[in-house]
Amino acid sequence: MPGLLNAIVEGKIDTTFLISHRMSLEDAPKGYKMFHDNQNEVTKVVLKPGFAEPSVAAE
Amino acid sequence: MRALTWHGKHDVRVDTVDDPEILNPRDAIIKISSTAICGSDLHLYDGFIPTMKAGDILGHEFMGEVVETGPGSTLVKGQRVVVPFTIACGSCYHCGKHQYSACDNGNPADNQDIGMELYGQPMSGLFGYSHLTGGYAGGQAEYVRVPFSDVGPIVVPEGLDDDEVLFLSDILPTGWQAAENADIEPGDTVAVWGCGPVGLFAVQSAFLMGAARVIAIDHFPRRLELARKFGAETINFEESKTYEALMEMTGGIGPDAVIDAVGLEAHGFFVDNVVDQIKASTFLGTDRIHSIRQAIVACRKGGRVSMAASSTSSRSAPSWKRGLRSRPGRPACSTTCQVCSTRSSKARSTRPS
Repeated sequence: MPGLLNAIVEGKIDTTFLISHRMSLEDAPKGYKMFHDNQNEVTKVVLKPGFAEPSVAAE
Repeated sequence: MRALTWHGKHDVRVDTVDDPEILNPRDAIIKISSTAICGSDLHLYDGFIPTMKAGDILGHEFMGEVVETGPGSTLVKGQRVVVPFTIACGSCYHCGKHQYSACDNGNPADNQDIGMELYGQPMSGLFGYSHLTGGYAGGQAEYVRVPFSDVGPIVVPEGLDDDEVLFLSDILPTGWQAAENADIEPGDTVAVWGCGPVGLFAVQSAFLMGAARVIAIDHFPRRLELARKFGAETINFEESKTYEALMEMTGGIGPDAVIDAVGLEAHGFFVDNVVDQIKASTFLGTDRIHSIRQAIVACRKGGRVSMAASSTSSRSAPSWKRGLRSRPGRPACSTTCQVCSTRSSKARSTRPS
């Protein structure tokens, strides 16, 4: 595992490209539905408890 | 605290539930800062996974801050940690071999009985993934209890954002291991079925391991575009016939190694897949493994097959869940005779007299 952590630190593996949506934990049911219904656009939903702006698309 | 709970097929809710508490000396409580929805959470959402109970808290990709520790935890309050989704004791036979997903002790005894019945041996515990894997509360919540917190959690070095390290919890190591299990050799052509998160990390990992070409297969244009961004060639199976395209791209030989990162809920209008879907919808079958079949058929003779994607069927799950390696094949007779001769003479020369 430290090997993969190092690969991130050294920029050999890109991880953040995947996140298409960030939203509040309160919006998780919406996140599940979006991920389920639209796998083309929704590549990864990250939930953050207390996230201020719900359902904001990444970028 | 607030937590995402399962109530049935396509019915998940954010409820107020009891805060987690330290139950065992090696536990720690983590205050969640980021948690992701995994493709395998959709198997729960779609009602594919048995032994779920109403009110179960989901989530097995998460990270956060250590806020409480038991006397046996090695974590320190205030540390930022990413928590791997497997719950492993760190001291059984399998953990001793670093095969943490095969841990004998991460899953409570009464749940182990179900695994014994279905898969031949019990599975390790997992966060937020049914009572088959221990019934542990998951991390799509404000707080989570982490058992054996001296074993799994990875302390995050300063200067790294949550978004950079969150996927160390599952999909990044899963994608890496998918490529590793394909025994990739420099110069290989590797085909990856599925450009979801695991498939896309498998694409990156395969190149890092020396693959000369990676061919990614999916039907979602956006996901194929991401695979191309990392240097993969792509096949959209709705536009081209996968087998024929692969043969054309590899001079009729087939890829040296194939990786299935689709598994349980494969899509596509193929006869075998339609049959799988009918079986799954009538509970005569438990998964739709069209992509695994296609990967095996397309792989070059003598090639390597890595099955990363989840499987629940009685045919493939006992192998997938327990990480078994099988090496089928008619012997390459003349090569085998030479190797056998070399190995036996080496063994004779090293045998104590």
